[in-house]
Amino acid sequence: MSVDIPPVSRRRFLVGAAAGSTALLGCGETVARHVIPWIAPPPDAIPGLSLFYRTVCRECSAGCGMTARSREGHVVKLEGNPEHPIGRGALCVRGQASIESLYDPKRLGVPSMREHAGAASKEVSWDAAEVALADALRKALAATRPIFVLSRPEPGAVGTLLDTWLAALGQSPGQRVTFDPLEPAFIRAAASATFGVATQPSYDIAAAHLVLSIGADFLEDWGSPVEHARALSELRAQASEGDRRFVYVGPRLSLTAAAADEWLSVRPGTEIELVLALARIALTSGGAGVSALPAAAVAQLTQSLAHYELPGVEQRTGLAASTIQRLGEQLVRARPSLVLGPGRVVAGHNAVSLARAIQVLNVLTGAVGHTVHWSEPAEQDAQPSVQGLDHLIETARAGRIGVLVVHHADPLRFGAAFGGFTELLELVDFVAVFANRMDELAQRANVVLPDHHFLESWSTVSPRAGVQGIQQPTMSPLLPTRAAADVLLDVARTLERIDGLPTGSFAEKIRDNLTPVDLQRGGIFDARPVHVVALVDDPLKFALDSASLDGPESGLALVVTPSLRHPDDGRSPGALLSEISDPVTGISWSGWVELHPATAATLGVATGDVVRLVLDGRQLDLPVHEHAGLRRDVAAVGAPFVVGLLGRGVDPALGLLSRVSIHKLGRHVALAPGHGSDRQEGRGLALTEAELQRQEGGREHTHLSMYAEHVHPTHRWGLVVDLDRCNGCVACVAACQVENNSPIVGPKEAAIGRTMNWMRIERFVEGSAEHPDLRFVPMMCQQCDNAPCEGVCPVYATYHTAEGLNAQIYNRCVGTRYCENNCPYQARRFNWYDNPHPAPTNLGLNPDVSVRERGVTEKCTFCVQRIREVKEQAKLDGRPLRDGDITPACVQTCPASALAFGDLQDAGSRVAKLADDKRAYHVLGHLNTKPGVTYLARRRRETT
Amino acid sequence: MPSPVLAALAVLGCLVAGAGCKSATAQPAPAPAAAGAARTSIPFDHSLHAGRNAIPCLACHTSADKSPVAGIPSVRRCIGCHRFVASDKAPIKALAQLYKDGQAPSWPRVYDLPDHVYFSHRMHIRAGLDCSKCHGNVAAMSKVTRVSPMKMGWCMTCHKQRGASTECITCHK
Repeated sequence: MSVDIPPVSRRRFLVGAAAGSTALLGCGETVARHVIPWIAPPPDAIPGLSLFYRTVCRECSAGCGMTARSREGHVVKLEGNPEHPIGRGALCVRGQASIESLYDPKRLGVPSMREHAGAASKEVSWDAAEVALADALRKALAATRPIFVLSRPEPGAVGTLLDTWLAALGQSPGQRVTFDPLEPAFIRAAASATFGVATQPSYDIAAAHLVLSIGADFLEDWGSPVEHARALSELRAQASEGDRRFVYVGPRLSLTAAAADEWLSVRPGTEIELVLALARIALTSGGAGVSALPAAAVAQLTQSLAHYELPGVEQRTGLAASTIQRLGEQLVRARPSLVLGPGRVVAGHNAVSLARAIQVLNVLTGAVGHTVHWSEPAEQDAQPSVQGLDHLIETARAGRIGVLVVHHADPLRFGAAFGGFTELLELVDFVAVFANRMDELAQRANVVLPDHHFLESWSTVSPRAGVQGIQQPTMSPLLPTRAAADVLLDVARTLERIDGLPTGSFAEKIRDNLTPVDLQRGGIFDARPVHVVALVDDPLKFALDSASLDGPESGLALVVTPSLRHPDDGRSPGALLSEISDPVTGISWSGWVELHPATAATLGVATGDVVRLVLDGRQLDLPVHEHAGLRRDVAAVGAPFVVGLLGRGVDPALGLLSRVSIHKLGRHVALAPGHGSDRQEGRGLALTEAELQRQEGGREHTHLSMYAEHVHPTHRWGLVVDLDRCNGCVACVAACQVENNSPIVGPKEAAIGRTMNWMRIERFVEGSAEHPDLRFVPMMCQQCDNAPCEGVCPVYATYHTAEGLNAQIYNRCVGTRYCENNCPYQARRFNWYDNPHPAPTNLGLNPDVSVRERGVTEKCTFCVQRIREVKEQAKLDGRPLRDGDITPACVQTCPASALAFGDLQDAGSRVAKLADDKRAYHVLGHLNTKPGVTYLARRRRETT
Repeated sequence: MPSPVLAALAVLGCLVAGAGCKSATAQPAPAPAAAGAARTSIPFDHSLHAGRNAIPCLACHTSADKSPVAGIPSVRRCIGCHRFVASDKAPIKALAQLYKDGQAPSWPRVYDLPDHVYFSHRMHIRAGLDCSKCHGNVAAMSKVTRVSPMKMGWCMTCHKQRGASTECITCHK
């Protein structure tokens, strides 16, 4: 029997299919969308074009300059401010991700009040909330009960206002308490003792010929990470010109340690012995700073350091005497050198002593004055201190506190560490909290006053002298929030206590002092005055003991590790930061405890096994991650996860806490891996210069193809990644994700490798078990000229553009995933689900990039929307494209300038020159893919 | 009678094409309205503005030569003229009331491209195209209706004729 099939042409079939899908899905023309005009357009706004506002990032206390890109009145992307001296155009991963908190669906918009402790809170009007606060203040003043303000560090206009406001209410300055739990206050305390200057110094890393970090994870959370990353990158770029070295001493191979030429570790707690031994070498072998010291001081130091002879130090620290001797000689030879520290991972109970020893060492080597500078803060804000909080708690115990005004601070997040704080709340008549989210403290407050987001507020931020960044609103407030400063001003006016306070609004007060040029530049910047410091008499006259660790001898030293992904104030990281893999371990979403593989084997556990950490009766259950870059006598836990173990009165800024005992629980969880294998398996993906030379000439083929080579009539876009500069900080990953509307899939999907980021940092562990070498390779679509993905697409959804991009046409893609399967770089991502963008998160989407949906494969296109925009503008201006006009999001944000983008066919372009460098190679170039991305092999770390 | 094979092919085609057909949008689902006709609570007559009064297109759609988006006038721009012109008419009074209340009318889109399409008004104006080339003689339309299909083939025909880019990535975002 035969069936009579009418002839159907391919075109008729597709037309029928499209018609069917229209009927089924209701797409296309059946629904008209509405367009709503502005009532009055914002000044300068043109629909469809971006506006840029300069402001300051408030994610940490570094105070980097920021440029917010706004479209139709909403911020859609954050970038650095090239004119700001701290960030110089770059942002770290946290800065990039801070847009998430602006559109946080859980952000507070309406004030709320509760009648008494324990009562349910209810939303109230702003008038009612302000009246309640004014009444409480009036009562406190009448009863002469003290009023306290507890805030995060506010070095600028808001801090000044808080001080003036308290003074106007007749309160003493000591009642303004600044809370910054992770700030290394011990460095300030030490500087005060060593030099009589109680401020944080600044460091010139790029100028040093030898940088020695004593546990200072300066690329992560020690000081100003963006500034330090840039400086280290500059140091790297000069490495070929002379002897430039970076040595890291600490218990864990952190991101910062991985960037070092050499990673050393000593027995936890004995770092001070190493520093003093180095100081002794500097003193006896003619350190650059010794000759400037008076003879009496040299005699005092000689006496204090006599005990630190190498054999004894070797025995106590576990570090070979020859290594210490070599390091000491290198320190003396390098002019200038720089010793940084201590960082949190080595800061135990002797943190101040260790910091003082480091400062003395920096004097002896001549670093102070050359690479270490002290300058007075421009607008002195109350310095954060645990003592300030203690003063608050003691005052409360002595008699009740009338009103506690909390401005963006929450000691309760640190668990038992500020145990006295929970008790304190019982002793305060009225707690008013300015916050953006209903954090733990806000849940206990009498009144919660939602402040504007920092991207909606006015202030100034002076992280150091000579830098006054201007924080200006980048968009109208999304919610009916009010600026905290204005609420405080309103209340002061109600109470008629206005001495010294501005008469108008807080915004007017700030704006009145600024010119439009200041606002466009993003701040007022001038050379910072340097403060000359001198050693106090007998600078090492203090306890020079190693830190002794409590807890059972058999236990492991617990080290609290830093991470760029963890907020400073103890908040849990948001969804974007959680999903981006930790660059050192590759883990996303969950917390973990790091153990050396040998230690894990002794305990009978492996990666993913859950263990119980016990410290002083407190316990914490976490999965194990085996990290070869860890001492065997150490267990390491990230700061946000360790709070459960913090004891009452423990300073969270200290990272070397105690010994913990670890117990196997017998449970196993799948940790979300951001990568495949830890090992390169001989594939030569992350190469050093020497490795590249060894394989030179053997791997890349000449053109082998059945097809003619692609012709690029105008441009061929290319990217160069300098692995010598890249430190794996993942800022580019966040920038890419925000720029390209990449969705967040959550822990369950991430654990099975379904994250949607177009760019990732591949991480490989090389080297020996004793000297592991972490290597990072930023991996994105390589825009191959001979692309494996293109030929296998059955619907021509991916194709090669005339400018050398592997374009992906999303509405054409039918989701066969052939391309993904055929891509040797795993640069393509498949949408397994529709990814919701619930209001108001949809307002933060980039309108120049489509939001992909279920069943579509997506990928990096070197930010083709930016290429398109710049080309269009150049055409309108009637000029050719210039090198450097186009910057993809990843290139823009890189603090280390590791990425460069441009036209490979323009021989004069930076990218063409770099791609010709002798360090240049293509990842998997032997597959004949002819990538548009060129990597520059890493220069260093051949000898460790 | 339609062939069962053809019908089956069509259904299969729907499923295959379905993945790529839906245009992704960040906006909440809009209220349904008939395509092509502008319906709003405020009647607006293009033939009166662009026709009888010969107001140039760019006077109201101010960003068409500056931006990818032509833009529709803000309520303040309407009121700018209508404070003096026809301010006694009922629709203008309604508009003035909206402005006073801080509200804006909602206009159904007559020309609407899917969100995965990039279209730049300013580049087309730079190329010397008249608005009417795509939008028709709006000056003669009391209620604007769509005169061009706004389909890819229609765009491509013109791009080919004029030697403009026919790269997919030029218009697909």
